[in-house]
Amino acid sequence: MLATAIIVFREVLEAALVVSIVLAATRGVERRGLWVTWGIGAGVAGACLVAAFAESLAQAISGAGQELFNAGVLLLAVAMLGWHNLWMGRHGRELAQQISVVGEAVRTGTRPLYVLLIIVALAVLREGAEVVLFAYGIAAGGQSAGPMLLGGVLGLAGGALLGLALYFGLVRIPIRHLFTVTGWLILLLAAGMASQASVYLVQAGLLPALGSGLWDTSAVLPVHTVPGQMLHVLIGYDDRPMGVQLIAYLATILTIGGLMLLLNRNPRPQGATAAAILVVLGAGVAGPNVAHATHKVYGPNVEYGETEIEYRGHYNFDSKAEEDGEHAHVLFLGRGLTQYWFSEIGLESEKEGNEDLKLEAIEWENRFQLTEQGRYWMDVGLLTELEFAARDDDPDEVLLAPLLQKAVSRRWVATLNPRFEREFGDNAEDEWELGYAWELRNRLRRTLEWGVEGFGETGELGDSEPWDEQEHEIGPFVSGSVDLDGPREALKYQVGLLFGVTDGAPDQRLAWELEYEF
Amino acid sequence: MSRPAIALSAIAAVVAIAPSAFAVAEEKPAYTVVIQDHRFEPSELKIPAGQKVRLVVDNRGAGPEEFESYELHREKVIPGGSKATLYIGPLEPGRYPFFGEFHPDTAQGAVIAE
Repeated sequence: MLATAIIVFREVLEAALVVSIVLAATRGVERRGLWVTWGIGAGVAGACLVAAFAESLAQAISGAGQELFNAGVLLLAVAMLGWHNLWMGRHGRELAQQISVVGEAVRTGTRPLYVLLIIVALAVLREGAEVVLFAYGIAAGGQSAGPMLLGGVLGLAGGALLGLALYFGLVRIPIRHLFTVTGWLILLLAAGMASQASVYLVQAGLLPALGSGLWDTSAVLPVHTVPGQMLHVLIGYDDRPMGVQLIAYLATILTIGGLMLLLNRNPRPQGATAAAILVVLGAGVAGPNVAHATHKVYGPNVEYGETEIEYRGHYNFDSKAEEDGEHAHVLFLGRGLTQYWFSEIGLESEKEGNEDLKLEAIEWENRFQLTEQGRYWMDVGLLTELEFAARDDDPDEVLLAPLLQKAVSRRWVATLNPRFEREFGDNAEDEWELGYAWELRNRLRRTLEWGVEGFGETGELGDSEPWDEQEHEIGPFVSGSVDLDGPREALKYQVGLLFGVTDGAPDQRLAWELEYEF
Repeated sequence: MSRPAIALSAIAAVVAIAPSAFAVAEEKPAYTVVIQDHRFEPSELKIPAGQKVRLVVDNRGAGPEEFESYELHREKVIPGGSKATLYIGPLEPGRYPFFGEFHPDTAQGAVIAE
């Protein structure tokens, strides 16, 4: 019901906006109300035609290949939703301007009145057809007609009311924000649909399940109860999902969400100016630019089929008051997709200086195991990381790091990650920066291991900063793994205390990590 | 070529040739452990100490199994009906238990280095 309500609400609101813009631009034109009303009517009629057509098509196909059809409709809906999100973000404003220009032309008599009818009819038809398609998608996902109808009515009422209110200037919600919020809601919705589509494709024998029951929360939040069903439709929740569902879900989020972040970002001249002023004043240019908010040494080996939820963070102590008390947190969800490839996506938030804790970036990490463990003198892997900044003016980052590991003896293992980072996008520095992470670990027993680790950033590759502006830290850590009930289910922990060797690094840093694997 | 580019290509080269540069002969002594009915056969495997050996784990069961050993520092998932090759050692003389993560009740074994 909620899913239908959100979609109908948004589509109706969009149509209402078009109508409002047309009406606003043609104020004073005689009988424009009549033309616009006919336009709305024609649009609705067209959308009904599309619906009827879709209905008969569905009936023709029903029986044979129902799963395929459902999957097809769902995937089409996912593609449309994604495209729609991207397109609206990019061209919404342009569209509004064009409509105003046409409205002006009608008002001054250079264009005939029926143009109004066509604009309105097309807008309503487009939004209506989208509603039909998405409604089919939701129905194919197993939602029954009653709640959907209720949702549709609620969405229609809400969208129409808001459209009217906006037109009469009663409310002044910044439209951009409204669309941003509904855009992200729709992204989750699309991801849920993609996950559902993958279920149908597994049933049709076209996709492998990649593991049944990644987790089982049917005792806690069964999907057939009301809250479970709500989450299912809204964000694609499932109480016993297959591996392929998670992949479809994440792939959709990454693709559409990543594109939304990338494409909908406007170049900000103010940002560039500010950066230029900073450079001129000589402020903010000292020290390595690329900050990695949290510290971790990566091993080169990948565990196939393992799913991992990871939280790690740190807290800084420093004699410089403005840097004392800075802290950062990351949350990752990952899985060993093959014997040699582990992929994870996560969120990073950070409290810097006098600012509040805020979302810094969305990260996508991929680790590749390049050698079979123990086969050669040293084990080798590769880490790649893409970091999309959460704020418009911040640059994005890319990281490449070879992962080198050597079992020195029965108990001691040494690991080194040289890190090559660079920024791209808005206000990016055109340089590669060199950093590193290493650890020497004693494998005492599964539940308790200990060692020494170090992290550093030296500044631009081949042209490093003066020593004291570089960041170098070193310190002890303990870690371990506690087995839980399920097969391969374990909880891992690590706590370390790092001491700043140079002035550029915080005096002390407490770092922690908690990982749930299954 | 700028210095960063040179450094980067050097790293890339190391990563690319690492397998061959550090290569040991493929024909290390091979040992095989078969997984069937959620058990390892043989459940005790004797290998020479102080040598790197190749261990083939042949999972003849229908479902996946994970060969796991904290002592050997190895964890590897082997899908049902397929084989995996592990490289272990050189080991000090001693007993190195391993088990199957998916069926720890029955799938137990050990490598004995002597």
